[in-house]
Amino acid sequence: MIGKDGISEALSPNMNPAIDARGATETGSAAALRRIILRPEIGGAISAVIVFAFFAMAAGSSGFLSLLGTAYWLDTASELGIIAIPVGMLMIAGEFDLSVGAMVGAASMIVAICTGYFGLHPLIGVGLAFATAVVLGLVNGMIVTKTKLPSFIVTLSTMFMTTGAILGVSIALTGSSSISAVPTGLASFVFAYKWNEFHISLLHWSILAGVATWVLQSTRFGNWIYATGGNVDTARLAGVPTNRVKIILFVFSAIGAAFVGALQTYTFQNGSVTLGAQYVFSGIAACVIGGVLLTGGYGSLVGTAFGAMTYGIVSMGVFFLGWNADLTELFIGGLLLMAVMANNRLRRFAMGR
Amino acid sequence: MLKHSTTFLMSLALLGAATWGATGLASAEENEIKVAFVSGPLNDSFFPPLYQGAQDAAKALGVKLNYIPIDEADIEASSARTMQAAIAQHPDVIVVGDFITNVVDPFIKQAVAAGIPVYVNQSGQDSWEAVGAFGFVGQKGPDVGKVAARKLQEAGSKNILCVINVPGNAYLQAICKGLADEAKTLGVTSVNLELPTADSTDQGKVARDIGAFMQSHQGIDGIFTENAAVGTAATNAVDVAQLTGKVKIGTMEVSKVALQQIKDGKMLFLINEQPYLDGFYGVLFAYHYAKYGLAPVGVVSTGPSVIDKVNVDKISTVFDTYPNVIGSK
Repeated sequence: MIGKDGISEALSPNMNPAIDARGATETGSAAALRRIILRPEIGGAISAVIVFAFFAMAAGSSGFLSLLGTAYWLDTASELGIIAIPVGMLMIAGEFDLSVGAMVGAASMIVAICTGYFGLHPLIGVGLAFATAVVLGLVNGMIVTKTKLPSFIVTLSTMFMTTGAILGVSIALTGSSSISAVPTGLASFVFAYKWNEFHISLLHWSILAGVATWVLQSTRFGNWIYATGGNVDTARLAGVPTNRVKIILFVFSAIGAAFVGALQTYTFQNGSVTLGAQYVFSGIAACVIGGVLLTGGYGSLVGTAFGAMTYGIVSMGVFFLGWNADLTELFIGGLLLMAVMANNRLRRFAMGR
Repeated sequence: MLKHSTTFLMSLALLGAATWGATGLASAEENEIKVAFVSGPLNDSFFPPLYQGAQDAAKALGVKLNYIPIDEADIEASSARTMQAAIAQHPDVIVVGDFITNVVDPFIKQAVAAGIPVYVNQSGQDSWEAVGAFGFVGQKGPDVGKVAARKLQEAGSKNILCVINVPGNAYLQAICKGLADEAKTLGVTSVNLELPTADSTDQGKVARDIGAFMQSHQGIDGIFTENAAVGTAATNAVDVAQLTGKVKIGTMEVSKVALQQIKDGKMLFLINEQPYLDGFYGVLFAYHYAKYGLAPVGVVSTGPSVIDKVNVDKISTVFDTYPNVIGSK
């Protein structure tokens, strides 16, 4: 929808006005303010700051601001963020992936069966989990691009199929749906290392966010992602290999999920078929709160990171308040709705309509 | 009983998926006893040992077993559908895990009225007699909580946290209620934490939830959890908060990691619900009743039995030797 006016526009990295505004040469404080407001990550940043301020005031004295409290919400945000970043890139390219949650469970079980049940080297377990993720990503991407069916339906199907298949395989091989797995050697560092209270996932998330932002903002592939999500037909006419872009991103999102599956399995020394099912919702929520448009073509990964932080702050902060923890979902739901409405207004404002 | 089942266990472990097809192959025998077994899904780690026990009994006795799993994500409607499916097949006996009594009890009456005897298994201990079932094998939820409260109090806990991992699950709530009542009797306090629905499949989040709850409720020195994954999360939360040894932890469900934690002193005790026996006895009693009209009178109690430092070595050996009899490997 963005960049529909021409081929050159579809190919330009600055095809949407919000990004355009960043590079504009206007001067003066009004223009500067406008530039800031129009950044796609502003919604996510504002919501993260507001919820942080709220919980700092309301629950700061009961430990929310302590080192431990900070580690809790950052760990939550980083595990979610590792899933949300590739999901966000895929959404910018105009597609959904509902199978990420199922992939977390599948990867978890593959790692646990290989290393916990059969006693194989962690490399084999993790390698097989990643290989499965590549296959799932390819299947998702191929079906979506070949059939032109909505990715919502395609990945909904593959979500069920993945969960069913991994349950069947694990019951057949081990008779169980939950297997212990203790990490050894390098695996215990890469997936389960802790620095004081902070889990290594924070490092993974930071690196991933940095690399993915660079890809999206500064490389040709990044331009292709925006172009594919903006207007797929125009982009294709302009020579963007839109199918390849989508397939690569589907693979990427499955790998992100597999990574978190291995991470949680080794951290808690337990693999489970149902592990990670909630990421279907929280992953998309983080992206949307962070300003990614459901229709594609617009959004930023910095925003997605803020979205993940918002989720982490709210879902942990509620415990420090001592409220009923089920209110977390009420909060997240409300935030999601506000984010969608605010982003919609911002976008219209940005486009001058 | 374990020795008897060794051979099929070994072959089962090898055959795996083939067991699903066994019902179809066995249908040639006309006079073999057909048992419909309605119980929980295999993606809940409690149920694989129960399923294993039921299969072992079926194989030993030559029973044609049809295991019908209830979908926990849609437990009310699914409880009804699975019972309808069981009745429609006209088995010789139905064995049912009566988790949602309001939904399942009318179907038990319906089955009994249609001439199908029903044996209640694992849950439903309060209503099985009234609805006409011929027996019950399982454990009473409040008894589990009672045992847990005593173990923690003996170890010096004065403020016990009971974690409910499925919000609104009556059976799990009854366990924490039993714990609270016993704690009161013993003169210690207790508090419940119901985990948010969205976190139930996120081990990392559960660990942080428990940690944060302990921060905002200072003074908790004992934790009881209701499955293995949450138990591991609790030990992790206590580790991170640098309270290992100061906060005693007990959990339901036996896992390899939990057994190791007992040996390491990170976990005080495990409640062994012995689901294998639920499955094995369920099929065995159904078989005896269908063939000879014989059944144990009243409740056959399979739990709660306790694993702690005293008996952990023996349990560990069985655990490693026979997969899925005590718990998942």
